[in-house]
Amino acid sequence: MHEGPLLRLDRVTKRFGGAVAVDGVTASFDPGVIYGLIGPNGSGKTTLINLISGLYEVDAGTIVLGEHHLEKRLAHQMAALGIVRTFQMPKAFGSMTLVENLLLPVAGDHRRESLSNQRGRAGEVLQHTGLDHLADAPAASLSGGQTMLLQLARALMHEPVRLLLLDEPFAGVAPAIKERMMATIRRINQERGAAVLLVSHEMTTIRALCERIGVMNTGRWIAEGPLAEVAARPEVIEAYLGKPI
Amino acid sequence: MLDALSNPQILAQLTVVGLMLGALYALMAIGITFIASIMKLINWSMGEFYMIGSYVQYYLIVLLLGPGLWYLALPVSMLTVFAFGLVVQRGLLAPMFKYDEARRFEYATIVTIALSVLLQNAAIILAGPYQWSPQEYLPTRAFAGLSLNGSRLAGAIGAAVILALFYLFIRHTMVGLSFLGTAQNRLGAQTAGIRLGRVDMVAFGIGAALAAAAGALLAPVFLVYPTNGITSTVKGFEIIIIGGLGSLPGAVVAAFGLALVESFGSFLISPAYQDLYGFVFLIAFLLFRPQGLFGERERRV
Repeated sequence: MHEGPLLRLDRVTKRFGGAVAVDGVTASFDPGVIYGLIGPNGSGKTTLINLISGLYEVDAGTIVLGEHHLEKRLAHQMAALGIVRTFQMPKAFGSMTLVENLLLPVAGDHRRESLSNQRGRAGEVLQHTGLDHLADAPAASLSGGQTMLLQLARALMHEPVRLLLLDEPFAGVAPAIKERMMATIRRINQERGAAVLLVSHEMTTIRALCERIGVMNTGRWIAEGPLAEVAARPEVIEAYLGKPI
Repeated sequence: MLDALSNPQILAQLTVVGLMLGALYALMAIGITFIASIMKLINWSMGEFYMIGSYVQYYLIVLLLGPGLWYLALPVSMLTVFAFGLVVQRGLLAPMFKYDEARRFEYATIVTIALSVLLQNAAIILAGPYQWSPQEYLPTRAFAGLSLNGSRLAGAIGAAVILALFYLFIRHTMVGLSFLGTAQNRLGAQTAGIRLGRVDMVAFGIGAALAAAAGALLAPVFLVYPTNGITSTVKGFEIIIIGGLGSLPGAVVAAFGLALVESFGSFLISPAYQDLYGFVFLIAFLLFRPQGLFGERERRV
């Protein structure tokens, strides 16, 4: 078994034209820990998630998961390594039913299990997330929050799940669904032993879910540690409130 | 002429002729729209896949199998074109997907039009500028007072079987599911672990094989010659515009609609203008529903 951190970022940099979106980020993430990633708007959080999940190519630096270098991999290869992500704009498959949505990751990795077994698992996952009454409805009929929940539920169908990347999953989601989403995140973390990296503006959910917090500002990784400790650091306060006059 | 339609016999005959042809049109249209929905491009050489399918079918029947075994020649013809489609996709289209996602629609248009010209001329050189026809697949038969042309009946049965298998494959297998997902959202499908490169290649092959099936089944009706794919491509496009680009049910409904319009138009006006009625129907249709039957108006953020 591999010891030490699950994911290591070393001086990861991404530029868009002249703008440096992610600026030499060095950080590491342990397996099985839920991390929160916070920072002001435009600080590079989503870009960092897109780099780790293979949507963007890094301009400089290395991203290593276990022993695998990730810099040149395509999104489907990331999925095969156990990196699962959700999108801020939900990527549901509108004309497919909820069950079919859940079966997609299974179709992707050509598992040998029978279709009926997989349907059974999808049904169980829907029950856990409280969407089972909609199992055969098209995903387009869901509300925004339910679509987010469905994206999360789909993560449970992936095999393996080593790292779950969540980009603002709670934005605009009703409180009742938020509760179910948090339960699902905890389940993926505990049952599958997945590390989670959660980008969110909502400090209440961050506080409830995350053991450790990373903070970004203007593309740089400025602090990392338990929430209480990080929140007290002057550079974090400065990033959020500006310099003292 | 219109009062002839009050004769149920004539009405039934025209409807049956339309429905039989509709199943064959549906093959072609589904081939085009399937490739378009997955790869987001129009394959302008579909007619040449149709043409190759008709030649393979013709030579198999004439040189090897005989007209009684048309149903054995059909899968061979489809498999041949499927394999050819894989090669075309890998060799000519996949590289563009690799290096320039944004412009692939323009590139694909140019590449597939060039390929279509190339294949037509290759057929003239290899097979000569002649029109061939295999013998009738089935004898013409009478059923409940209707006269059913044997080749068209065989074609309709073959098309119905292929369409049913295609539906089962898409809706009820894991591979089919990955096609559906890719058609809806390429990036989402890829992050769910689906290999787009492989899906694109196989989808292109399947679309080409559907066109080949139409060519093979229509060989005794619309004949076998180097440019026989042009009419069928035009009809295929009429159908997917009426049905809504990317919509499989739309393609099926519009295929039957077009064939019925042609069948009734030929009887009521003149069979000489059979290919024109579809266009009139298309224009009239677009005036009222520009997004097609099941198409969605494009939404952008």
